[in-house]
Amino acid sequence: MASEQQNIAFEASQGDWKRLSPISILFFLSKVVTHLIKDALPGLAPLIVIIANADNKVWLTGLILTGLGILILSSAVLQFWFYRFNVQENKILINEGVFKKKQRILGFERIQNINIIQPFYFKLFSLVTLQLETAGSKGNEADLAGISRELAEEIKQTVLTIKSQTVENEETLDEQQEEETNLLAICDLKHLIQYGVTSNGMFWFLVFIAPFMGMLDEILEKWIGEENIKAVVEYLGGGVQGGIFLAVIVFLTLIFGMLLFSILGAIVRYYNYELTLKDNTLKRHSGFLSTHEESAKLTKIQAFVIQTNFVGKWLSVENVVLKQASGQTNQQSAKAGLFVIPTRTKIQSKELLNKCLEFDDSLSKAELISRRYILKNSLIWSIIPIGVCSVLYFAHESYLALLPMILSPVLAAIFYQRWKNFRYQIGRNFGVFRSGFFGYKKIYFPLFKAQRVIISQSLLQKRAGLANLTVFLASERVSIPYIPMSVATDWFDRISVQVESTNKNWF
Amino acid sequence: MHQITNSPRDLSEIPRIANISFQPLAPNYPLLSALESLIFWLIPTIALFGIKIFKPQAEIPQLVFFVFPVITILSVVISFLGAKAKGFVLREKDILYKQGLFWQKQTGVSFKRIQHIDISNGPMERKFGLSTIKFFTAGGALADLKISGLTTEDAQKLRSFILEKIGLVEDGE
Repeated sequence: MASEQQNIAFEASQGDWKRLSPISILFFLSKVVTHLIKDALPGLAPLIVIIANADNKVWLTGLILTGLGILILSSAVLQFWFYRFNVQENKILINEGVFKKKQRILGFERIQNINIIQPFYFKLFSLVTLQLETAGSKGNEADLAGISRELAEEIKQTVLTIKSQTVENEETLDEQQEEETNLLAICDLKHLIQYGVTSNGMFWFLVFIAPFMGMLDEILEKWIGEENIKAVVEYLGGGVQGGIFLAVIVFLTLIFGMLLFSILGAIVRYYNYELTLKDNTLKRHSGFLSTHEESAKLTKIQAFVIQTNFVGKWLSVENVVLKQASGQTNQQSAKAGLFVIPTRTKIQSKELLNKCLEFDDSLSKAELISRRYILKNSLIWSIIPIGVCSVLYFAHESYLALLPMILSPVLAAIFYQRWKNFRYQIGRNFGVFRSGFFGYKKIYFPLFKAQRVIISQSLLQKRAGLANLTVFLASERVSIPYIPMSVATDWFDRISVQVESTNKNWF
Repeated sequence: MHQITNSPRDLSEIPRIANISFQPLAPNYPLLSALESLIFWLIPTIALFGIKIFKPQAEIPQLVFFVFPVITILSVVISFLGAKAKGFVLREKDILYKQGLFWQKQTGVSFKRIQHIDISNGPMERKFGLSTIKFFTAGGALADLKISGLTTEDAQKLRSFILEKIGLVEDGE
């Protein structure tokens, strides 16, 4: 293909196999330990049993720990020893593996993402990790851990120049126009705290403590003790009132813990956040302990998502997520594919939208979806409580059995609130869909990036002239329920025209 | 360099999907579809009656003997009508597919977005001379378009037609 044109002189001589810096043993060490904890921990359980049954516990524990330590250390050293890489003109070769040899070739023109990361243990030695991700199958990516920053930058530049040569001429013209680095966003501590509160990082806390939930009984019994709980209840006023107080306090503590966790997470991840735009490539630099540097081509962005929760609505700040294609790569890179820009004001996120996706403001008026959405959903979801009611009523013939019916108005209220938050807009090149409950989520996407479009309608919808529209993007799907059929076909036609008439690549 | 045409267009000239007539699938596809669903439901039904005949002491509610045949008949009829309701249109630049009896669905995929195409046929389909064609796009597994009930010849023609179109697009760039 285009590789014939790439006759640029490259300094590194061919066939020059290099090793990583010996400091990278630290990287392999952390890899072995995480691997051990993640996959082999149950396997270590018998050892604990042996220790528990032994006569001389201290001695045996020491022996086992030393043995394990030596095993981990030698494994890390061996992995380092057998890891070699060879940077060539337009590809990189990597050989690794102690017992199972693995040879990999990464062609530069196939590399999708290049990230430079600096874990805290590399900071002292000014080394970095270069992450190379390809679009191909899972596992075909590489971490060059423990190379000098210069080498990392050199490889990155080579990959970027080779890649830009293969892109259409049209695009390189654009790049030349915009040579200077353009600072798009920075975040200070206040921004990060707000991001911690307004993102859903809170729920990661629940994921984090979930494994400990099983031990809750034990903790309550052994560490706190029934007497102590009773004493606290007494202290709070005793009886039911004291119990309720305690429950409220525990609940508030949990919420507070979640918030703290979320804020700390935001700071660790996005400390010193800086987003720049150069040569049509977005670059992000952030991190507290480990510095992350990620880059993505503007053309790879599939959708521009603005979201916030009720706190953010009150503070008038929103968080922006740039969505890249997922699906073909593995889970981890799909997560890394999220490009988060924390805590923007409305004006700031609009500006970002203009800069990232050349958004033109030709949008139609924001429309609500049909009210039938409320009716249909409340009725469908009411089937369960109504069913339960009738069964109970026939079984007991008591009016108390009709209690679940209260759920129906609650459901109606919920769907009313959801309905109120749906909005859709279409322009010449863009579609916008907003949804939400207390907060909101707005998806802006260039129409030509659509992969596939579905219009569906039930018989009842057909009679009312309504339809659901689903647009599949490479990053996600956008489903707009209960819009007039004529609007749905209009979107379909506009998307078709955009897909056919736009010569830009969707990725 | 290929020439870029961009002649001005009247809004009424823009192709619309609202007034398109779909082409039905192979004439024997409804039969195959009905047969497949018959076999699917016949297996548990036969098993049920088998138990009744060979093990009369087994306690099975009477209602079950009524429900299974009814479901079988209904699903056969729905499969038959559902297969009749399916259709597709091959346009210059995309393919449209419609399906659904009660919940109707129209799907459109541009040739430009198709990553690759698969043709498959099961033993039953082979007996009928039919095939299933599947178009893969980048939107994940949910975004793949599957059309069953094309004659094998048509499926292959469709594939080479679209592959040629995609190939032409690539050469042009």
